[in-house]
Amino acid sequence: MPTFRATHVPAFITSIGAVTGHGLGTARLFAALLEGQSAIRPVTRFSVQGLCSNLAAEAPDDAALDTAASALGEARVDDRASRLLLAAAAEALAGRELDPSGRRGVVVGTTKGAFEHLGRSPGSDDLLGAPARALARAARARGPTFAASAACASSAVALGEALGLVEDGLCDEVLVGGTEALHSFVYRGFHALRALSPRPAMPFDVERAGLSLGEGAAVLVLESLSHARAHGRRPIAVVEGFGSATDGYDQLAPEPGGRGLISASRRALARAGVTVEEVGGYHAHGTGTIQNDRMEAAAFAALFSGREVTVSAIKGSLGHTLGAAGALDVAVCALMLQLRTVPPVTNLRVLDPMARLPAAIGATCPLKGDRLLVASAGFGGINAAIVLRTAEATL
Amino acid sequence: MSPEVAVTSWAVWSGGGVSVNETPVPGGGHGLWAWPERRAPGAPARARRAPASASALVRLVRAVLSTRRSGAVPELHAGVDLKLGTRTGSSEIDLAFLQSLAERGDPFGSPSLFAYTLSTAAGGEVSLALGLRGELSTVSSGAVSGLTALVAGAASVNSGRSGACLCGAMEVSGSESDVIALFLLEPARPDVDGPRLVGWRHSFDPAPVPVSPPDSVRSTMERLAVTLANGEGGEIKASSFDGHSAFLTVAPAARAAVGPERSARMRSR
Repeated sequence: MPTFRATHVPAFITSIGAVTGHGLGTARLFAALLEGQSAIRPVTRFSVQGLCSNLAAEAPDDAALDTAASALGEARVDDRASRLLLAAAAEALAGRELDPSGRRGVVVGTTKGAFEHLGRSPGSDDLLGAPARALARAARARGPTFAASAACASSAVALGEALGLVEDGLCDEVLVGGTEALHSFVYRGFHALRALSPRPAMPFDVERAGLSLGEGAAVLVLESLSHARAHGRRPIAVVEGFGSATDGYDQLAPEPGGRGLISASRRALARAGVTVEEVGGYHAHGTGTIQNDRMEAAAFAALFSGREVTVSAIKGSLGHTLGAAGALDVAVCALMLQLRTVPPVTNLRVLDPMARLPAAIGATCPLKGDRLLVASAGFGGINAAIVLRTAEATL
Repeated sequence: MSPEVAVTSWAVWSGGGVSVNETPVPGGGHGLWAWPERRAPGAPARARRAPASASALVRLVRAVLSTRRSGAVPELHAGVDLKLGTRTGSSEIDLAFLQSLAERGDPFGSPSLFAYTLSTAAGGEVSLALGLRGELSTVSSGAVSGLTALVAGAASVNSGRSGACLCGAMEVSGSESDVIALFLLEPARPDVDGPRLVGWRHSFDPAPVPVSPPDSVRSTMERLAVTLANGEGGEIKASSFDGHSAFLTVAPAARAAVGPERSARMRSR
């Protein structure tokens, strides 16, 4: 296990933007979560005939995304993942002066990037990196710019990379996020795996029947405290730690005991320099598949040893946004910390007795403590965890 | 304090052949040299049949870990992170899955094929076969992707966030650019032998100055391996037409060069 130096510097989230099945903006997203609304509806963008589900959470159409992104100036993009990302970035960067800066980095998590261009143009075959470049151009970033991919933990891993750039003093600010467009390719793949639910996903519910796909993007501005203060920005939340681990069990199924997630969580806590007793809430990956839910319940039990910390999850509301999921989870958790409110787990009515977690059912509840542990997991046995804290506690 | 990270082992597999702690074998045609026809040793029987590229990665990771200049350390494996730069990701498998949908019909895609339509799927196979339990990710930044992985890995090891990181590149799309390159980065300590990385950086410029011939992931990884094998140090720079650039500064090993038992070069088709 790595040993962390005493010079660990947390990074501050000073701005957030999001696009989801609920539409444009974080305000609309959080309001929908508080009300337990689900954006999972019949798919309109491609045929789902003959497939085991016809549902997904689709984001606004390209024209609406382009209109939102136009606030960033001329931003020519021709793929949906970049459009989603720029629309989210327009909210996160509103009101900021963006002079070209080599101290501004961009890290974007995605699993398929500009997938619709696959096989079309041999000159631009870095499809995964396309959204990150689009954001760097729009935000006039001249610092480190790249895509991070780690299956459904992609944007959680992107956040870990961004934290390192701030921590090492290489960047004053990093625009970090995740983006994923809903493609028929991926939909057919999850159908082939028999992972899609015929009704909206119900994480941790006894009647769950699989996951629902979604699309969306989130962009967070991560800054050092000194940089945020110098520009008069008020932090929303603090990223204290990140950890990741593989479980080496199977390409598609998580290790049932949650070995990888436990290891990732302990690494994140160690990097943050805190113990699990100092964590007041757990934000679950919560896909709604029986394998994930029961793995997470096992990991939760091992980590928290019976402590009643509140559990939240958003994929019953937004669907599983794959490479964007980690960034959207962190965006929502930062708002939870700021507002000290935990939204209910959408579509959760009766807990699966085999996946018992103290989840928020049916109504909002107050946040306990000032720290959250945010979990991500993905194919290939990849797991990631992030420790977030209220900004007030560290100022 | 100046940054310093040791490169304790490396390997490059391209169309020309396989080199381990040696100068890469030049040339070759499309694809990688002499694909293994069977599953790489160490892959568990329960794993589904992996694509040849994933088996090749497993084989090369095993070679790098077992030829570490300061001696192989089996218990090191569990904590090793794996960070690969890739420009083309899983595009070859993606196209194969699309082809299967076209041939069989949309409802009948192959789940086994879909499982490998992620850029990290080959790395997942390494975790399954060799017991690596560290972080697994890929990074993409055009032709600079391999160097970006090394820059990110070096920073992570140097700061103490990673105890050891296997960094490099994986491009497998059936072209002359195909390469798998791995460099094992560890904290620079007196008991850890190998050349040092003493500087690194990556950046972005939306209007880059074109370079001729253009850098590729393969050419960049091979230049780094040549510099390490020469033992003289130097600077590896690369840029891509789409705006990415990166550099690494290599310093010679503090101790004697690698012994013959820890290097290997397999060439020709």
